[in-house]
Amino acid sequence: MGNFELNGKTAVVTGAGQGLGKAFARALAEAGAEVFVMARNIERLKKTAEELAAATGSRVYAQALDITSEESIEKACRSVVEKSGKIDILINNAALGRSDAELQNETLETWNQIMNTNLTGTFLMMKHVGKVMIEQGGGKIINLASMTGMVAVRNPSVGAYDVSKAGIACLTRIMAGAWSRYHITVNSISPGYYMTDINRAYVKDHPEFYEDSLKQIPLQKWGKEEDIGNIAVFLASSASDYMTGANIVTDGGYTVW
Amino acid sequence: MRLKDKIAVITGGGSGIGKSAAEMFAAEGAYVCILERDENSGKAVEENIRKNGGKARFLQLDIADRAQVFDVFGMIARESGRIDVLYNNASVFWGTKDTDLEQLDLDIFEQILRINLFGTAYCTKAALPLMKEKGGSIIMTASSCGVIGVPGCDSYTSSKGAVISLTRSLAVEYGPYGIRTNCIAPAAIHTPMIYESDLNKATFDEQKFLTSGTPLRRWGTAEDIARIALFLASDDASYMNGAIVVADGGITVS
Repeated sequence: MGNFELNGKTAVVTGAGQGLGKAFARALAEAGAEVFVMARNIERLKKTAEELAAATGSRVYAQALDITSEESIEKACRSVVEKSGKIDILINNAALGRSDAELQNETLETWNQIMNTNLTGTFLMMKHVGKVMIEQGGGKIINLASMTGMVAVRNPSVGAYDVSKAGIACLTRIMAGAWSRYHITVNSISPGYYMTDINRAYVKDHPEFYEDSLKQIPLQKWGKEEDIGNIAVFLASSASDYMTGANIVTDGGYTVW
Repeated sequence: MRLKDKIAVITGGGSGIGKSAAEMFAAEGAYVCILERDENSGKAVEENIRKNGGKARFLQLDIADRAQVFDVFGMIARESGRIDVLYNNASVFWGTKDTDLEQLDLDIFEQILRINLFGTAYCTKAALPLMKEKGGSIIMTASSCGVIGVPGCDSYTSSKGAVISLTRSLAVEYGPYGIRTNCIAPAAIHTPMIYESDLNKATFDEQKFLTSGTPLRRWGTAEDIARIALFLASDDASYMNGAIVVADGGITVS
């Protein structure tokens, strides 16, 4: 049928060693794309690349990347272009998680670290992959925002993470407008609570948090990690060609009320 | 096959986005009930789907007719026993009659609301009992007019804003039954409906609209929106509930 196929496409996924990033990479590879998985931890990344290549039959390459370093980003982009000659799809997923501190106790160092990684890192990836996409005449950028950038969630440790995600949603809208003339679409995904390994461990230690969260989620469950990948495939495929600047909220209804 | 053996109901399935969605859903394995006011176009879509090996059935319906809505959904209940996907696609844009509130003929206002809002609510009310047991997907149709201020079509904008609000409350109310309610907000889609609107106005400058009003610089197609509906109908969107999916070539971001 070919509604959501990515055959012949080259995709970059940051933060792809584990969690949602790995789920995105797997789904893109399953849809037929050649995928460059990127992260700092190259050893884990190599295993991920091998695992995904074996599972999907698509080409999956591991590329070391530190999104806080512009030099590292330029190098990674060059490496993709040398191998594949293009970048059709960029999924900006790499991010630091929420800090445990409440705002009144948050250190400037942690705040800056989170903003630098999440928001500035997304900017730098867009800057350098954007150059490639402008040159080649188009592309699709998918940024990971979050529902926590949209509403005040019940978890009290609020701060840099949520603001960085709101900033990413804003950057998405602005660049959707600015880059439409280059045939680059920019959309974001705002996930709610998904049961990643990291979140599973958190929930195990904080069962009351999990129970409380369900009261706010009309679908009465957390998202499954393996189910989020298809949203990226949809946004990476021609099925979303008339969408730009959109924010796809996938939170079971958490932020609706 | 994303919708294998699913029972999908599409209102306004005889033309434009609805027709495209009906054909696409059927090709993905769904049994499609085409609800359409116009007998000829509804039957033509039914025939075309069957000719291509798909399963479809045309049922004539004016969604603004409350009694007729419950009759038709009663028939679907008797024959199929359930609904998995309800795509509320039917609506009207009467560009020549709809206008700013001061000049607006209130009979026109009421007629448009009766189709776009009431009709959507009637169909959804009739479908909910058929969806509650197994869960499913409801797809609403708003417009960028429901998201931003668009002058000169106040009946239409009111109806579409209300559809977004209804999407959100249904998402909260029926999420616990596994029914996901989401909404597509399209704009500038080139279907027969736009000939009722801007393209008919002597003052409309298509080139200007596409180059300066629409960031992606083209009209959207029926397929562009039907594929989004397919995505929302399928398990690909299994954790999406209450989402407003804007598909307007970037009009609302700029």
